[in-house]
Amino acid sequence: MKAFLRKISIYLSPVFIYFLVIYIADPLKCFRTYPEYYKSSFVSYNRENVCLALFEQVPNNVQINSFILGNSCSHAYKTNEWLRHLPPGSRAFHLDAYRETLDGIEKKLEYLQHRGNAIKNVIIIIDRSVFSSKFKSYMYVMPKRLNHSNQFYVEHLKILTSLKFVASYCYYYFFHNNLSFMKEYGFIDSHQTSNNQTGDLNYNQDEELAADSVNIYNKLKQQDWIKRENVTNLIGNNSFEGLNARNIQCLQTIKKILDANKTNYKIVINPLYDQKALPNNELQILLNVFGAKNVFNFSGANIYTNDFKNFYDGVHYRPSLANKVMDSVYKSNAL
Amino acid sequence: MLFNSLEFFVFLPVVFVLYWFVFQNNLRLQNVLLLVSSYFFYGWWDWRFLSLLILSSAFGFYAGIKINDAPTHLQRRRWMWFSVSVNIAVLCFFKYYNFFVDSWAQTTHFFHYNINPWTLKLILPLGISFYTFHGLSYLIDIYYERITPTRKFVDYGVFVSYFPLLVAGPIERATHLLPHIEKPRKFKYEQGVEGIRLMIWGLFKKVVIADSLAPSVNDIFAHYHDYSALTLIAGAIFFSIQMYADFSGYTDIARGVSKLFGLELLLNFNFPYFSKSIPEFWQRWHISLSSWLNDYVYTPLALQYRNAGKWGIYKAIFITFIISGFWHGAGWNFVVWGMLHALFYFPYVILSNKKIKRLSGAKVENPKIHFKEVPSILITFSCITFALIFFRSVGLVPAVIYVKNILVNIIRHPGQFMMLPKHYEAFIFVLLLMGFDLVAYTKEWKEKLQKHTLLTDLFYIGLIFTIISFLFSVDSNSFIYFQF
Repeated sequence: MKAFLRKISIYLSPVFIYFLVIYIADPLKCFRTYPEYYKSSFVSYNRENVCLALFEQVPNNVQINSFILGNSCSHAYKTNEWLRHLPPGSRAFHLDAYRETLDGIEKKLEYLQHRGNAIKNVIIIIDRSVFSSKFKSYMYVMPKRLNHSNQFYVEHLKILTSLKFVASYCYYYFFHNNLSFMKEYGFIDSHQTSNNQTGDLNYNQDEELAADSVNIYNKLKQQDWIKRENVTNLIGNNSFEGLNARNIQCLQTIKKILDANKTNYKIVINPLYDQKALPNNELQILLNVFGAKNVFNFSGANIYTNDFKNFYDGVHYRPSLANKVMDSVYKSNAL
Repeated sequence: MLFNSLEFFVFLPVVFVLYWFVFQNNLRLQNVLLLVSSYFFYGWWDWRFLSLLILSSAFGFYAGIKINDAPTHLQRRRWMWFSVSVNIAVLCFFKYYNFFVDSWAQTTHFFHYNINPWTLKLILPLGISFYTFHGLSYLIDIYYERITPTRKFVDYGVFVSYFPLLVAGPIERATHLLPHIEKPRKFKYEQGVEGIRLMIWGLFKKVVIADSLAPSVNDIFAHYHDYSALTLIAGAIFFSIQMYADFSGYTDIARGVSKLFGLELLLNFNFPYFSKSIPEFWQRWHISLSSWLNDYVYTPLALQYRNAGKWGIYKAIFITFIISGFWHGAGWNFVVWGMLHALFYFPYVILSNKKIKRLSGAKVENPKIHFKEVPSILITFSCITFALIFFRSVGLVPAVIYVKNILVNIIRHPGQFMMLPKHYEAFIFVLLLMGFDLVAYTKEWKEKLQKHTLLTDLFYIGLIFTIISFLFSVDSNSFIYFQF
């Protein structure tokens, strides 16, 4: 029996060692929390998990009461700019997610409520993709602290046990170069920085653009980013699932939480470069649930979406555009 | 719980530790543990049918004693027929009631006479086909005095409900398994290691090969209207390999688990796709079922029709394969699958002078494959794959259309054979499994693999890593034979 158990150990030890290495190295920063996420990184993390991890590290004496929610377009909305429109005493934090969904927004508000956070101000940055269900990938899966599901770890283990990903990661780690089979992982030496006190994510591309915008935009043109239809292909021609029962339930729950906390909230529908307006029925339901004075639609053809220079790519826009949007939103409110 | 699930990886070590470390020298308690574990395993699937399994076991146990203890041959015979009829009735009720009622309604509708079929919302109890056949073989073997009945319900319960083979076989015989259950077991290192290796190999076939082929098979069989002949042919080939990997993978895991408990199960697959003829195929494929049908259906029928010469034998084969088709599923497509195999036997029975003594269960050697045998192997594989189109399709009509589309597309679009079929990349899994099988088929290589060399250990460690990689990245499917 001892020899048999020894044999089992021989077979299982490499597996345990591998999982131990994965846990200790934590290349996707999903098993533990870190004070810093973006410095010297080249791999994409689960943004939702990063935001929550940074938020939970904010000292208790710092009373965060204002939240920027939404998808990655919300990165253009800087907390310091937003605070200009908020009453004194407001403290803001970013709680966004890649490919955010209504389910995600609902879960975050429930999480905040459960934590006992005051939810005084909220701005929700969304577009038609918010009506879809979560994409199945480690970058988009909801963290366990929100939905109490282990799917977060399963999705991360999926990628971390993929021979292709491990080989690609190791190759990039040593050579900082992408081979053709690695492109799907999007490894890139990131210039992104994060403000750990506010959760703001800075792309740090504005300096580059200021220095050499012609070449950068030409490069984007060559990669077809400037074509509106490519942006549509990336996001989807229409919302994926539309007004299903779950989405409507999410909207109602979100409204309920915001009302219960007497939150001052705004819902901004992104100005996307493809100029596809949010479908009417979805816009209508947002207006019905949240009221016309809280919903601001910047989708479709307008002065914001006409000029590509407002965007880093066809989807993510620059803080300068976000500031204009906020001015418009809060000016309307003031009126 | 599935063999490739987290729950099973917790369940198995717990049972193993209790079996060898807590109840080490107590055969009775070891068997009680196996029985309780088996009921737990089965109940995990669906606790509602656990009572049916227990009742079926209790009835079989009681009936076996009654058959044996009957004072006269007539009473003995009556008990046998009664107990067999009850078992078959229960199986038919759950598995075939709706099928026969719907078929009858369709037949009357064909003659413009509409009836309202009284179908029931029946759920097929998991493994009922398998444990019913376990019970039947026990009762019939007692009647023919091949075995004496056990007087311990626990032992009989383990025989019928033993968890590794409960839901998808192999279909064990009381003459083989019961003596193992009744004898004390001692842990043997070689047996244990072989068990672990079989489990790893079985998981590899299931998780890496079968589950990877499943999406391609599902897509092609769901959209057979849209694909070229070559894609449809590829789909059929993928299913042949998926079916083999899935089912033989399950059996390997079942046999491997059993070795951990000191029990040897019947070999169920012996490189079936290297068969050079259909009769040889049935000596190598699902051996436990085909030998069961040979012993309890074909042999009695062949005896009954012996005066009719070759046509009598062929009639016996035909009926046996119809029953085999029915056993696999309550659908005309399964019946046609069985009929096709019976048809494939025609040249070997009617046109040949060689006598077919056994449909299955004969000892089969694995000699080296000569190059001149390759055409026979390919023809046999083609026949099997063709029949499996009916097996996989959701009904008879889709199967016929699938075949029709292959033929029509070949005639209308011969140029499609110059293009790669859809999901062509799935062929890598076909080549992988057949490659491994070819190596294992060769005796020298098989012996090398079984030795305790570093290379062998590294090979199995490599398999484990591959399984883990695919376990997380490929959607897990239930074993195909669970539906039977």
